[in-house]
Amino acid sequence: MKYLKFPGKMEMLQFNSEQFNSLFPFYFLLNNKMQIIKTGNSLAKLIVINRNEPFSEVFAIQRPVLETVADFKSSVNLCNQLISIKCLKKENISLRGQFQYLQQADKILFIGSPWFSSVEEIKENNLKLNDFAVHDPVIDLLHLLKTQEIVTDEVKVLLNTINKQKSDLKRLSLLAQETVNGVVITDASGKIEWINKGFEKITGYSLEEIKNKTPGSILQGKDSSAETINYLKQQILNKQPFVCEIINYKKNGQQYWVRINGQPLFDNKNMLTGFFAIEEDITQEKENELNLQHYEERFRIALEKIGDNVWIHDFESNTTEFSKNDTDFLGFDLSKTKINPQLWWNCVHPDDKWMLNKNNAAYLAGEIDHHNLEYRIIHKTGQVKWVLDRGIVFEKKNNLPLRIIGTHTDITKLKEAEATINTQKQFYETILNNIPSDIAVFDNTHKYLFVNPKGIKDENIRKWIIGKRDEDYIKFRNKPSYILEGRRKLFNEVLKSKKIKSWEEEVIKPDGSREYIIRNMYPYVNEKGIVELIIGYGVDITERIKIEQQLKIAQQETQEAALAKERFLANMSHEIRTPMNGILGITGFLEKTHLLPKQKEYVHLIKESTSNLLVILNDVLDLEKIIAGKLELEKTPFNVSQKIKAAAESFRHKAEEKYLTIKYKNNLPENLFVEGDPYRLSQVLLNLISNAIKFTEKGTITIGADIKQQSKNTIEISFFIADTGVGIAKNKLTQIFDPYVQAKADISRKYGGTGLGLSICKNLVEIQNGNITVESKEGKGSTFNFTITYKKAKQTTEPKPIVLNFKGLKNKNILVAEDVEVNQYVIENMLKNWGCKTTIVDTGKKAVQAVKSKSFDLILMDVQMPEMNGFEATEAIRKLSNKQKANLPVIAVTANSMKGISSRYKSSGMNDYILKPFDEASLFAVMEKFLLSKYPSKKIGVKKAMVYDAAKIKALAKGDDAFIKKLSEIFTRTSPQIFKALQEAIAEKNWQQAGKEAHKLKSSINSLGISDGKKLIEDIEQRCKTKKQLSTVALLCNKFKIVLDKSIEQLTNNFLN
Amino acid sequence: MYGIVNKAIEDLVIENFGAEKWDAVKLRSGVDIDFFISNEPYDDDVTFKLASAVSEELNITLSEVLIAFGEYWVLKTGKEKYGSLMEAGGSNLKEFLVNLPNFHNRIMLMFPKLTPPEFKVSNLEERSIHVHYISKREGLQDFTKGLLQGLGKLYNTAVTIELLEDRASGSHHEIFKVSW
Repeated sequence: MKYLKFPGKMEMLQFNSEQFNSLFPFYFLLNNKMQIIKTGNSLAKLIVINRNEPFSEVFAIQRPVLETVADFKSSVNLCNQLISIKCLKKENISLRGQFQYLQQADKILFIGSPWFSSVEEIKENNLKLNDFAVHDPVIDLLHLLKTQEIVTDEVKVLLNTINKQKSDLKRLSLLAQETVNGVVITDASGKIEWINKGFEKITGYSLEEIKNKTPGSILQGKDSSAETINYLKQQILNKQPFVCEIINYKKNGQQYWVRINGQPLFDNKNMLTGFFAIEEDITQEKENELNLQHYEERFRIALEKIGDNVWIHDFESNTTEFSKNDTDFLGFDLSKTKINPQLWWNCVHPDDKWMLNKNNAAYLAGEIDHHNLEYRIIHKTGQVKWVLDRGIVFEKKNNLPLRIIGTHTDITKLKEAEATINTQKQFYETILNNIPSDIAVFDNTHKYLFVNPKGIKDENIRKWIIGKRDEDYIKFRNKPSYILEGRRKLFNEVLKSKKIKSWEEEVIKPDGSREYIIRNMYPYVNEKGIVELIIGYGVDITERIKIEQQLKIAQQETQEAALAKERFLANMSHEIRTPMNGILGITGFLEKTHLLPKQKEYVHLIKESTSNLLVILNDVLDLEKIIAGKLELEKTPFNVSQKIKAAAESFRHKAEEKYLTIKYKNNLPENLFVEGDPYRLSQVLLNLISNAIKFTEKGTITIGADIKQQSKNTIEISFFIADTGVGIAKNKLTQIFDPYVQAKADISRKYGGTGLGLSICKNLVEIQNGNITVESKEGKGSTFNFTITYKKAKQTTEPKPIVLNFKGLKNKNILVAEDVEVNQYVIENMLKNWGCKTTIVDTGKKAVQAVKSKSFDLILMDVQMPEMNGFEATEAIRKLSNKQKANLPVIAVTANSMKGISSRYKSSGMNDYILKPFDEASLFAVMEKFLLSKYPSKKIGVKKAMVYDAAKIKALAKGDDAFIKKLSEIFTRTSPQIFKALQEAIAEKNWQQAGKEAHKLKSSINSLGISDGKKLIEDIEQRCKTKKQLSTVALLCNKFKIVLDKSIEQLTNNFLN
Repeated sequence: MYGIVNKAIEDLVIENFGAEKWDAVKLRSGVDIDFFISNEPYDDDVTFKLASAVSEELNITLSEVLIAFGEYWVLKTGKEKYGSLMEAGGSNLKEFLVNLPNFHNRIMLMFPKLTPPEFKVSNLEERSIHVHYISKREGLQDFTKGLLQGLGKLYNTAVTIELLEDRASGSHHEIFKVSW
């Protein structure tokens, strides 16, 4: 073992290496060359140092600071100084220690320890506590350092905590100080220690003024509740928290309400240190509460006054209080419900209890906060009442309802009214639902409000449609859009006009059949004049339309049949009258010749037979006229008595022939003039007298008249004809006036006649507003009574009987146009007998020619003639340039006695007519008017009847002649073209086109007022469009052409030439 | 005791049972100290009161509390706050225990107001050692036991602690045999 020797003052101490290392494990030894020649164990562990490694390569002296690099000498001088050296070979390693010069060895010894800044560096440099000398305090220093570090951290945390608490405290203090509520802190005896600003503000007291006084002593007064004060005292005494509301007094004496929330304060040892209280000024709140109470009271009273019972139900105690405890509602005293919470529930109708149970459960589950129910209760008397029960939560506990308030209203009457309304509604709905019409009610936006099952059969669709628009339904049903448009248009029109509208809807069903519906929209206008609802109803008129169509066809057929009948009668009349004219005429001539008595009798018989035949003919025609409504009555003044007398007298001869007496019992004034048809009166009288004579073999015929009643202007005359004849069987009396009926089957054979006479009488009397009856006893006789009411007339001069003064006709030139030779002969002879000069022609054409070539005073023009008929001939004559000739009087001679004939003559420009057969007197009478009187025949001739309506055209033109001319020009130019197109379309059977062409013509025909053409062209159009009765279209077209040609001719003559 | 000990108890309770439990412990102990400063000496009574209160509050024996605390002291307080120092104390359990007397004596010098116990070691064997615990305080030997257990865990070494002698049995001091 090697010993190190350390010289001391007194002695040298010797250590072996191990001892030295143990004491100074970080030493090193320098030789005088400043080389490290020896190191301690721990230093060697810390730094790798090679033997004799120069000091300067391993270390640098940090302190003291040397001016030059440390050499041995300067290093020796550093002895006894604290040396800090830095290791150059390892970062952050410093040694702290001291140099000791070992003079004897001429070496420098460094003794020290590594200088670490933290415990962690020991570990980092791979050192352990054992590497340090036990005495070395470095470890302890580092330990202290670490502890200091820990403590510093703790202090920092502590400071942070303190700062936070300080800050919290400051905030709390501020809160306490600045809160608007009063804060007061007292000591354990309740004496004030501290108050905040809020307290000062509320009370008006400063801390100095009230310190060490109890709050109660300074704030409470006469209105402070003694009960509350007592409560406060008890709580304070018992060291308990307290919450209360009390009236306090401010420093200025003013009262205020305060809510006190106080807490006792305890120290760690649970010793009472004082009280802390927050005082909230609730004066305003109290006022509001009071107002609310007043308001609630008023509201409650109001509710009660209007019949409602206000109630409060407490869920916790399950009690209900009622504001009105009378017995109106249940018949029980409602104040008992607190005692018997089930009282109300027990009265609820068993069928309605579920409603209240459900409601109650919903409240308790917190699902609802109000309710509105209608249910039934059973009154003590057993009467069922309806209640409207409404309620709302006004107090909660744990977010669940604690108390609800509400009202009960007796709605029994309302319900009864509702029930009545519902019954009525059901009643009307039942009616509406069963009416066989589509009925729908719309609001004013065309939305469905109601539709009945007839309108929509499917119940689901019926429900679906409510609230939908009509167009939704049309779309849903895939109905054609024109139906929608039609309905919408109508709807809007109804909405605007506020008037009912109707239209016809034609629906083609899938099977091709057609359905016709009349739809109506009726507006319901409310009090403000606004259309609120529109009621639509549709009626299926398919059957009606079908019947109408059938009727139309039937009517048309009837009309055609009637027309055919009329034509037949006209022809028959014509064909009979024409030869009869000859027979009568010739018989008349024969009568005037010298005849043997037997011959005279024969001639008389011929005349008689002819007359009878004429009567029959006239009867038939008259009856047809009457039935067809075509008999025209005259209105002329006449003397009734004279007519009766004349009628009676006319049969006197016949009566006498049968040895019958005619009695005349006229009670009418002789000069009684009335206005009416004397001819038809005579006809009735003659008919009845004739019958009376016919059916009476012996006895008397009595003819009479009497005034049945009269007024200032009218007179009802009763006529009678009584006989003592065969009479009429009772069972025949009712049929006696029927046409073609006779009392007995053999009458016709025995007495002759057609059986038309009485029927004609009846009809004639009735069209004169009269009445005819018969009384009869078979074998005793019959009495016919009839009455006619006439308008009274002033007495006039009766037309004088025609005096056949032929002198005036002498040398008159008469043109006779007649194709039947016998008639030519009759007329010619008559005229010759009168001294006339006659020219006979047998055609219309010849007549015109004759007029042109010769001069005449009058023309007797037969109507039916070959080549040119009488009408055409007359028209041709009227067109002659020689005005005198053109204006010749033309008298139609016709066998056609049917209605309308006279107008037809006139429209052709003829002046008058005479019906075949005629006698001399009749012919003279009509000729005399034109040849002997001052009759302005000229004017008549000029006033040629126009097919167009001149007045209408003039009104249209408003005095503008140019317009009329233009109108005429357009019509005459275009209508033939259109007519041609019409004919072509008809020929091609293009009915649609034909209808269009007819329509074009219709409008112009209308505007010119061509009435004859209007009906024809309308018929043509209708038939083409409906494609019905097409077989007669061509015929109608031909007729129309005649009218058209004439109108063109007239318009051209009158406006264009 | 220095504050660091009480603080360690506080940390132990808060870490394992929460701050509320610590408040309860403190309330139960009657100790009215909100904050312990590590290098500030406190009356030993404080530590005992806290330990007793923990025992009562957690319903475990005081012995268990002290053992748990001893372990915690080594594993948490020592390791976290003086980790490097502890590690410098030795590379393994044996080395540390051998150095323990010196280590503890240094602390005594560093904290002049502390009256720390004295540790001695003897009977050093390959796998055991006797640790002598000489303290003026009564009833903290369980704490020492906890410390020794904690050291075993620190060095990841399974140890058995055997109390060979104690003052209750008339000995001068406690002797623990630590075997590993």
